[in-house]
Amino acid sequence: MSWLTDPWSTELVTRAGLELVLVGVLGGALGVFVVVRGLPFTVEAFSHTVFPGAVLASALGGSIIAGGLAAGLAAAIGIAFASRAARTSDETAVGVVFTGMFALGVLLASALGPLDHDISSFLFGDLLGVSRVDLVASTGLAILVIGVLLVLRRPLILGSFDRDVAAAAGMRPGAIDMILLCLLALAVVVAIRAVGTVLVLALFVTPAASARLVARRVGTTVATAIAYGVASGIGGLYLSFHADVAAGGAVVLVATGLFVVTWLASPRSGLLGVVQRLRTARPVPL
Amino acid sequence: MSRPLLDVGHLTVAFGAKRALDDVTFAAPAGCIVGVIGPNGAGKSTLFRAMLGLLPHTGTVDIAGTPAYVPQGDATSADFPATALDVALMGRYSATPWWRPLGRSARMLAEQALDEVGMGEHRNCTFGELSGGQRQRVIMARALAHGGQVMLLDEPLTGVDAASGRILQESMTRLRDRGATLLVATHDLNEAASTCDRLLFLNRRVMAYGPPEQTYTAETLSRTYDGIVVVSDAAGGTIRVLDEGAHHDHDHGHDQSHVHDHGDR
Repeated sequence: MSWLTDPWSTELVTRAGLELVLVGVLGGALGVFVVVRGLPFTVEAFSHTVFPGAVLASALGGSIIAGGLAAGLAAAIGIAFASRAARTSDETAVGVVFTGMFALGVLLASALGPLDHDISSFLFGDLLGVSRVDLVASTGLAILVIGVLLVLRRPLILGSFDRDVAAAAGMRPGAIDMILLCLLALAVVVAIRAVGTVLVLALFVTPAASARLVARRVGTTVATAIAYGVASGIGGLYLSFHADVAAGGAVVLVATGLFVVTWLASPRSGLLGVVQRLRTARPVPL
Repeated sequence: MSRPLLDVGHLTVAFGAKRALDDVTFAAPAGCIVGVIGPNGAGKSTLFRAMLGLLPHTGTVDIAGTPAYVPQGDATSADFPATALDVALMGRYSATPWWRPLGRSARMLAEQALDEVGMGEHRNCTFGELSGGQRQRVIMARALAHGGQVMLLDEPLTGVDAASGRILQESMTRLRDRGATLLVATHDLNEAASTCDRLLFLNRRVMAYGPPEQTYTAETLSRTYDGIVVVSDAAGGTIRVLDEGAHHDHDHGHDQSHVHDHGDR
């Protein structure tokens, strides 16, 4: 059984594992609202818009997490206002802004010198570089996110389900959107530390998509998505440790694998369900 | 007449230079179903949204309590992870502070509301599993669970199967008989004329307002529908409205079993 305990024998890997658990909680809990509100593209946008902030912070000798957070929050507020203006479709506005921001990051990175280690870790993640400070920050953010989701659960649910009714009940869906986007931006920056900008979207979509296949209510969907997120993180860590492959890719692949298995086994939409329905269906005369 | 539960004065909504609603004034007493009638683009939904405070407007809106609201059918996201009971419980959200769980009484109100629209035995089905008409009944249950004396319903019967339509209609009538005031937008003119206590003919302005026996005339219909009303045969009781831009036209007599069956699963 040493393969189970081996990864936890060094502090480096233990920190990586804890970070993945926290990121799994963040991605699972917020991911449900990303999926039911159709926000995957917005999350993708965050992961790209934080890049110039991180590059600039790195060049100025500051913390790339702080730079990323600042850029992420700016993007969240920008997207919330752009979608309220609604002259262009949300996705078009988001598409224009985020590719522009990412290009700015690329330009800055090339102008300010060769990409250093910090910046390349921003693209592909750097789990083993997770520090105690990072862990404290991630824990704080996870507590904040769960707390806000609990406090705002009803406006969030009603606003996702039926926006006008939420507004008519005085639940201020515009303000709720803004809060959700800001939490998402913060969580994306933290999750980028684990798997990088390129793969971060998966942590906010795949566990929630798996949970949607098995759970029928918002509360259970969130709990299931968190379980999938944490399982993907831990599973990916073992895969990465024992097969000696990149952690970010391993985590996302485990999440994808869990989704496929869930989908196949799902009684409603999966292969098992289809087979069962075929068996119980009356034979159709040819 | 008792004090109005619903009092709208000089309500005007402008989108840029264009006036979507112009100087709309009407009041409705307790125990009254007001049918809102008008062609597409006449401002029916705009009226509802302005009254709920969802649109900037001038003029006054005076509603007793917080109104329950049944928005147009396509407003809800059918793919949402919620059971029929969860949706009905949403009607209790605004009455429950965030730190308190929805208690036994909320659950009882929601279950009663579901029973009232014949959805009690489907309470544990997810919203997405239900047919269009059943979903609309669940949305009605949410409005019933919300309670209050005023309910605004934006085309609750459009795209709903006959059985669901009948149940929804009965539910509205029961509410009225208990003293509630309902504002109901509809495309179905004859249905409105026979089930509503008052009709509000709307085409950006109020073209007529009052009991059907006074307002439901070929002349009012013609003015409201910009002359698109082609035939009005008062003797046969048949009124035909060619509503340009609508997804269907109306051609029915006083047969009460008229069905809008399109758009339903």
